[in-house]
Amino acid sequence: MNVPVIVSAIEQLPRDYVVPDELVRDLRRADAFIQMAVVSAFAAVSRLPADKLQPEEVGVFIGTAFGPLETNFESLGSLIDDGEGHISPTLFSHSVYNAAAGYVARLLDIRGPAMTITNYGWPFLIAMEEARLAVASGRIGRAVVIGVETYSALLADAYRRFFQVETVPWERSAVAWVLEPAGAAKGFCRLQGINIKEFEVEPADLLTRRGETLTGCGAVSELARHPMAYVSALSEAVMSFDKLPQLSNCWSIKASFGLAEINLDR
Amino acid sequence: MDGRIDKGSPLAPVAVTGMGCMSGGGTDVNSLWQNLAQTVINCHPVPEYLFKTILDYPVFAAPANCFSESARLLVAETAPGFKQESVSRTVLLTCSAAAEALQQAGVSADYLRSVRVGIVLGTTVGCTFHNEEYYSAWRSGLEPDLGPVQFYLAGNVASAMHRILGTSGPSAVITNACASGTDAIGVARNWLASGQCDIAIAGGADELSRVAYNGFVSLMLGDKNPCRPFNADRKGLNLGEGAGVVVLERQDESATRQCRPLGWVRGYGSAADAWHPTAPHPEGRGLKAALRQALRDCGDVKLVPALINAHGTGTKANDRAETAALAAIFPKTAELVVVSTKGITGHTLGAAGGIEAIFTLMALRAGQTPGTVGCLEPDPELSLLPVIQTENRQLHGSWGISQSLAFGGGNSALILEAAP
Repeated sequence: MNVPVIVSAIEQLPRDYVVPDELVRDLRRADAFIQMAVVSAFAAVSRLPADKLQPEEVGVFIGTAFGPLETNFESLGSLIDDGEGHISPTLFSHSVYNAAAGYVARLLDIRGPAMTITNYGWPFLIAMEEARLAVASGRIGRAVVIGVETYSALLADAYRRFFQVETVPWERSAVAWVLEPAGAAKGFCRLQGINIKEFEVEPADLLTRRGETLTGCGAVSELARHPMAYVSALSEAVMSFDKLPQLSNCWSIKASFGLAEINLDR
Repeated sequence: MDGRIDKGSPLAPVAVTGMGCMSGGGTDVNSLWQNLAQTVINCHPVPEYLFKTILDYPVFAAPANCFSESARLLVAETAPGFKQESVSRTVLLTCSAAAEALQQAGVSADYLRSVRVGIVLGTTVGCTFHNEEYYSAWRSGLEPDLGPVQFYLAGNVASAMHRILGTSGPSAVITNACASGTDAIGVARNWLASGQCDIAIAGGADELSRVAYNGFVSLMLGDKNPCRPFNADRKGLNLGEGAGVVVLERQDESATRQCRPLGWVRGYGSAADAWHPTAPHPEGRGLKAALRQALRDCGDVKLVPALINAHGTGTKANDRAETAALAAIFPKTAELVVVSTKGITGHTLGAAGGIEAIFTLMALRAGQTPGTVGCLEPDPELSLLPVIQTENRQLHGSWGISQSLAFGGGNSALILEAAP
């Protein structure tokens, strides 16, 4: 089975997002990473018409470069401050990289695959392709794909010192896309496939993302230097894809650390 | 063949052509298998070469030098300037397992460079920044040397393996907690079947970390004695470390190389409990869904596997939920051969799925399985009777299941077939 897959909803979490009332209680102990993943997924799914999908027919796929790194450091701090055997159980369980996927699954009652992919390059695209394959093969009827970064103060300090700058171009953000079989839903465009090749680079290049460009959505555009820039740019482009026939079907992202090709269709 | 009816798998079969392991349970696949067969339990207090602790929960530690001779020879060819201290212990464990697997597959460094290599590895600890010295200094307002940050950025285990092997192609680190290794093999299978790569290196790896060690103690999930999966008086798990890696190829690719497969990945399923951050659903809701998915994926929903390598951590909740799910999916529980191998490796977190897939294929190929080390008096409240430590069970069939459960409510299952 190879079902065409469409992008049926996109949610870019606004900077001043508000946790919906129905999620407030369940997210009261969650860190920002979990909270933003859940709220973006919730908003994206809320855009869809009601359907009869079973919980097992929906999957969640998260791509992140740094994961819940701040919570990792808080766990480490708890170990240092509270002593051996007394690390905060909540902090520790939330520092596990798939904690956000677990929350999304629980709060949106998603009982298909729950996958978290961690990669400094283009984790959202890797998650997206795995989600696309899952939908295309008929294994699931809907995939919620989330890109989320919350960074950490320690890493921001390292950035400033690496590059002798005052300001770090990072901002917490989350984006959620929904993929579905083309026949069952309306959407922005078909997602034909994603190919990624990685190259060897100096570690610092993974922090700066200097020279990362997106082509295919008009002129070549240099992306802002943070690991969610390509996610935001792709989201904007896909949302205007059906309104701008001049846009190419094949987009590519180039960076010192690799090349990614995203193939779309109307 | 267990009454299996082949209705045609939706995805082309993917061959396992090599297997490799480095762990506290054994420093290669054969020693791991021998230690299981002879019940050699390498469970000791945390060695000082890993970290100092006042706690007395034992672990299964790999040797201080976990970079095998095979790995050294391979890396000398692929990355002549490579320095062990430039990468994490998790990467070194992976190198050792990968070198063994590639050697068994008969894959040369030149061949690897001529094809698209997919590298998919599961880990938990391996993707974190747990340098206490740096963190403490930074927290105190100092400006420590940035070396540990560079080390962290260079430490993505899948990217690091591409760099070390000099290969190109897609890579991903799966961070699905304790199910990561199983999911990594499933993802690699999908990549091969969809043509994203020509060959895949997949599995899981995790080093022992002081934070994870304390975290499990804090959650009261540890046992101060060697773990006893499925046993009536089980108290919890022991952490372990290691890497389990397989080389996967499409059937046509391995045939072209005239390579004899060790077995095949026939099915993969993954599903969420949607229940609790750290505890499994009491009836194994997600595991049941993952198993059903894997059975559909292999093309035979009525398959009765010859062997099930269970997650079997030795915690009360895991073993109850897992056996409940198995009994629901395979109601004729008397026919089931269920073992846990964590009594010989400990719980290696992200590596567990890789190591246990290897155990599963080894047992299926041998036509027999040793029992569950640590299980002498099975818990009568479990929904099925696992194979106990003193038994050595003959297997009737070549298809088996390796399954994992994880924090966050993740569950995954692989259906594996051994080659004759």
